[in-house]
Amino acid sequence: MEDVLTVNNLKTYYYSNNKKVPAVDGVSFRLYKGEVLGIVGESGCGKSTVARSILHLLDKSYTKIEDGEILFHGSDLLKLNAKELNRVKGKKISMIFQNPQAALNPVYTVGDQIAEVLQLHENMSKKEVKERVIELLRLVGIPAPETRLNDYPHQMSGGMQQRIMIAIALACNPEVVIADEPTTALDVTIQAQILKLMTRVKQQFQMGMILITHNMGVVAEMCDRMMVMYGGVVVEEGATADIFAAPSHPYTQGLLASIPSIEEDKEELFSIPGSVPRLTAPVTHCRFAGRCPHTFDKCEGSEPPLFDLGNGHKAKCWLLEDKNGESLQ
Amino acid sequence: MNDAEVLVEVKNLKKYFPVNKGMLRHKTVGTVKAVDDISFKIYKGETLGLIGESGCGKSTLSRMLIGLTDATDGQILFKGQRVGTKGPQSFRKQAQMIFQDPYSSLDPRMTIRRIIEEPLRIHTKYTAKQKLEAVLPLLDKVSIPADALGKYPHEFSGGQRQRIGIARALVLGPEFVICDEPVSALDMSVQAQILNLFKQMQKEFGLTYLFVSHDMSVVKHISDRIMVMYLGKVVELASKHELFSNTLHPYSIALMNAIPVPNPEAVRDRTLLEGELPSPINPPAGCPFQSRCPHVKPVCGVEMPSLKEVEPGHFVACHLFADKEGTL
Repeated sequence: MEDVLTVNNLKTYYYSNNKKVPAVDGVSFRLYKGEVLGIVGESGCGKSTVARSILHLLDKSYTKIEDGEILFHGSDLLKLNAKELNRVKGKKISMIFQNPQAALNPVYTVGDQIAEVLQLHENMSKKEVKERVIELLRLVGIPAPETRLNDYPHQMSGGMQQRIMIAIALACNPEVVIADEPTTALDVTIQAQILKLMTRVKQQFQMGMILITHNMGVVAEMCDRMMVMYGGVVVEEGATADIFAAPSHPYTQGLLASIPSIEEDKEELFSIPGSVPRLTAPVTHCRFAGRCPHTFDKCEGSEPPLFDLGNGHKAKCWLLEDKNGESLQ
Repeated sequence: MNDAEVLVEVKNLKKYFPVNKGMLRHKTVGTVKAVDDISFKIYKGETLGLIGESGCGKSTLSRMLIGLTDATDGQILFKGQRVGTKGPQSFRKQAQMIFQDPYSSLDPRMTIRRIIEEPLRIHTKYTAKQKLEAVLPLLDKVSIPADALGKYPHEFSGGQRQRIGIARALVLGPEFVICDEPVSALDMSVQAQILNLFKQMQKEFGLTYLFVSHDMSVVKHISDRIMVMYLGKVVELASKHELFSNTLHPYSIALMNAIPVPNPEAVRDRTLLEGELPSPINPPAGCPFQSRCPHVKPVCGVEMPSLKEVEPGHFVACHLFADKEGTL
């Protein structure tokens, strides 16, 4: 399969009060054409920072990409200057944000906001832009697009606003769409509609999609492959079906066991003790060691590599060492 | 269930908000029927789950039950006694609330000790020593170390803050606790801890919960009976097992179909709901769900179906079940 985006050993650190916080600490992955890659994790695990690093959307006053490369068709996005990057942003790689109310500009009509992307990136006449805007609104399922394009964001519901966000992201037929918690702010019935829309446009345009979420249900439904992040690193990755069938990292096991199920009744839920730790660099132990039920000496002493379990399924845990022995890094 | 003691009874409760236009001369141009003629009972010792999407009136209902907002019409009876915003002090001691957002529901300028002792300060004449004696064992039960008393809320994580919120709600020894989306702001791994704590506290103190949430799997886990709301109306009310094995109202069915199941192998034959929640300002006559319902009939546009008991303990408000034999 052709890969469109490759991230190698990405390290993004935050600086606060002279302390280094390794928000993303060595993350590598590939995104193939036409697939959905899910990034799952709890707040503070670095999943949004990964997405924002790709498009340089981080505030440079307190963040720094320390190391790594982000290859898009072979060229490193981290080495591009602002002008070159602007040709990629919004055109080849676009983003759908979590909160459409905050991401849309309240003083411009939604039609103008979709048109802005087209005016920036495409050489189109005013008439062509308007036609394309109407086509996009129809694509994302806005009724009466000819009149709705004159609406302001506040005249639309949350679900409609998210459809506008998707239209903006799709305006220039991007090759990669990064969706950061696109349905978290929505009600379940609207969430189902938006997920269906995203599946449809993905199939239609054969683009690669990175879907960031904390909802295991959404991952199971949408993603071909997934990565589980914890404390700034990927602790498990592989095909979604493989991970749900046989989670190999204790953290993934804990997460899956702690979700209340619709199908069966449990008197007590499994719960992972403690809460997400606050990290300071450098880290020399397994990041999950403090909460893991299987912790032993080695976990406190050194950080495990990602062990290959076959079929692209990898997990970062010392428990997997003697079965396969070989490390990838 | 019917022979159990009724703790809270709600009769024809309504809450209408006027919609005003104009800056100087306020003109009422409509009403939002946030809660529209709702009646139900909560039995002692049970957990009643309340589920619905945003704007369905679930928060307004819980605020009225606890006496934070006045009802437009109708009655709330707590142990047979009428309560509301002007309810007696004794009711305030017996009913408490746990809030959604543990970040904004704890005063950042108070120490944990002051936060948890505050209800005691208002409702009792305890000395400082007595207050501390009431707080300490509770702190232990919610797994917060005793040295936390002198600390401030920002020093705690979201899960720990929610534990502190729980301790504050329980310090007066209430019988009835309203939990308004208490886990929706928490991380997945912490959510399970707090849900377990809720069940544990219920067993220990014999609490009665009204558990408000938009997450069907959470409600299913914690509740004995579940009430589904749509646009200010109760559309279905049944025991948890009955509701999940024999879902009747088209909206409840759609709600269940819409939940993403954490199982990639699951077969999905979902009928998605078209459209969105209609505007609650001056809604059309008849059933509030008519604009999105796949089984809509002419009668739905004329008359609001009343909440009928179709099976023992299973109430549904839908014209499809007008007669007892009605099946979908």
